[in-house]
Amino acid sequence: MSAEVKLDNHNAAPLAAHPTEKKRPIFEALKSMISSKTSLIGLILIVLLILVALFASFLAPHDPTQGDLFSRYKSPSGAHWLGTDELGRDILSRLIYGSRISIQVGLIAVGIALVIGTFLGAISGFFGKWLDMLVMRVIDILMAFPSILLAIAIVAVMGKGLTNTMIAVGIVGIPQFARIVRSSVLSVKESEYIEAARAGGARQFRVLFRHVLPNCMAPIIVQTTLSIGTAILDAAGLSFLGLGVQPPKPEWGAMLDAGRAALQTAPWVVIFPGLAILITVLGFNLLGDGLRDAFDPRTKK
Amino acid sequence: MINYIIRRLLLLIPVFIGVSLLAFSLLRLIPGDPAKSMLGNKATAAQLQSLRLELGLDDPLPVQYKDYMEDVFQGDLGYSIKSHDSVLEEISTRLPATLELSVVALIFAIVIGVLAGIISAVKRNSWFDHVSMTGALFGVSMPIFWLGLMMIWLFSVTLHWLPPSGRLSVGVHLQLITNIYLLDSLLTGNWQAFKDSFEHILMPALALGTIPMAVIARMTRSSMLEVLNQDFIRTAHAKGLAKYLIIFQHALKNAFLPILTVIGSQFGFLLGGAVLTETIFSWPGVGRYVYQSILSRDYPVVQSTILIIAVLFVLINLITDILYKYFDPRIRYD
Repeated sequence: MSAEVKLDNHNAAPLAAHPTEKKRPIFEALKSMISSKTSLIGLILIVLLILVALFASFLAPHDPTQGDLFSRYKSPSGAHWLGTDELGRDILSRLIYGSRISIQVGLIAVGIALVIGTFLGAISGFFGKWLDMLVMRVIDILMAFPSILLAIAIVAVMGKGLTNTMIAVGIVGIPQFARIVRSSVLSVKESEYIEAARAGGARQFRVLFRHVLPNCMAPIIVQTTLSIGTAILDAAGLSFLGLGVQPPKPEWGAMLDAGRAALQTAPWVVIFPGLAILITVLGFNLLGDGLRDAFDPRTKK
Repeated sequence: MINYIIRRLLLLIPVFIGVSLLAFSLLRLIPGDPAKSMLGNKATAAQLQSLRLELGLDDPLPVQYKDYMEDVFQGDLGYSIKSHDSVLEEISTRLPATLELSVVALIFAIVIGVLAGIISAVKRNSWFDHVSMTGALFGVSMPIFWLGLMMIWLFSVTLHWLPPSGRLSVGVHLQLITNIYLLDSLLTGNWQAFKDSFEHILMPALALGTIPMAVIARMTRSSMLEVLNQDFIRTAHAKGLAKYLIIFQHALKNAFLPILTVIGSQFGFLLGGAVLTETIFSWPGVGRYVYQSILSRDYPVVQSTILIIAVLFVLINLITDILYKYFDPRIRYD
């Protein structure tokens, strides 16, 4: 019993102290996110990755595409910290420049999924009826394929290369956004403030995009973060299969594929690109998990 | 329940039509002349024309689709334009290999994932919890193609413990019944073949099962934590029930539904991930078959294989949903 009383006091205190202060949920969430250790690590990893990509030309000790055939498959040393690959190129420099490709793929692919998926989910949940039926059947069809397989099939039709990889990985991500946005729109559109906006005479699209969608931001932000990690992973998988980004571009998955033949004699050619993918994806997953916990009142301490 | 199953089966019809349209469009969406794209620039006009005739590419699209679907329903999935083998035959010899790999991967994922999740939840904030949840975080972020290569490097190249590729060693004989080697060797009582095929499947199945294992472990932990905090668990403790009974009979039973959903969704991941895993470990399954057909631009094979995988995937999802309903009487779909 005493524990309950204590809890009540604890909860009541801040409310009483600032009775009129308007709480901004986004900032509250950000604050609790930064105070969590795991999401802070995720944030640090991502900031580091962005810095590496921005300052690649200063950080890379060598030219990422310039090989030296006399120093092929050199093991890690003072001159080449992570060794050299099959054409004598510096692996560290290639990894550093490769971060640009991964960030680009992650952002653009998820951008495609985010825009199309959110739009489809929003109109489907908001207008309902036949439109909902139609959109959801299309989503069902997209979800009938294992995602990496669908991406492979799309690239097989459209051709290899960076642009098509981003489009393929983007299309594969659409269903998740559509479903998440649809279910949040369904719950938000019944709220009283939406009723008020309608009563105020706002047009349908205005209600949807100015009043409903902004209140669905939390799950969208979480899904975006997690999706960037998945997109980078899928794109690396495509490039590893030789269907995505093509050599000599220093894409991490493509580097793994090229190094595979030398696994027995020069394992570093394979070890480091994989670690780069793992750490990058880990960063986005940590941040996504942290954001989800921060937005979800149930998991708050 | 029966009504629910019938309604779900009816809802599958539009999905199947859409899936078949999408698989069908693959070949037709190739920019330029599909025949030229398949045969290459060196093909003569006569060769191109005969391929177009063979695939019916000159017919109007609705006619082509109707012909294709008629063939599919008669069990004719077309022929490879490279080897001229029947796609149905090729798939039926490879599908058991993929199913064997996926099921073994899923068993690893469920057994290890659920156990790790339960122990983590029961011993919350212990060292085991921290280690296994950190491992699970790395697991969900894992590029499995890299993990596969690392396993080969460590266990095959360096330690010589496990074979790097294939399903069975040269010289080991096995009488095939189902084409599922582990099962066939058990059925024929061939222990040598069982041990050998188990050694072959160990690395690919672990690599393929890593992400599902991590996802299942995390889901089990959070689902168990939620249940363990409830009143009826406290009551069970108060009654003096044995701890393992409470965990496995009372808590797990109630925590199992979200875990089941995750398991179902991961099976689809396994079918897709099979493309990467089978390629790395030279596992002669459907995933590698699709991949090789894409590389050799054998589009009739790609079209039918993708169709089969999608149909399988949809059916597995349906079975998960039905199981979900079966295990949770609170859910009423009608």
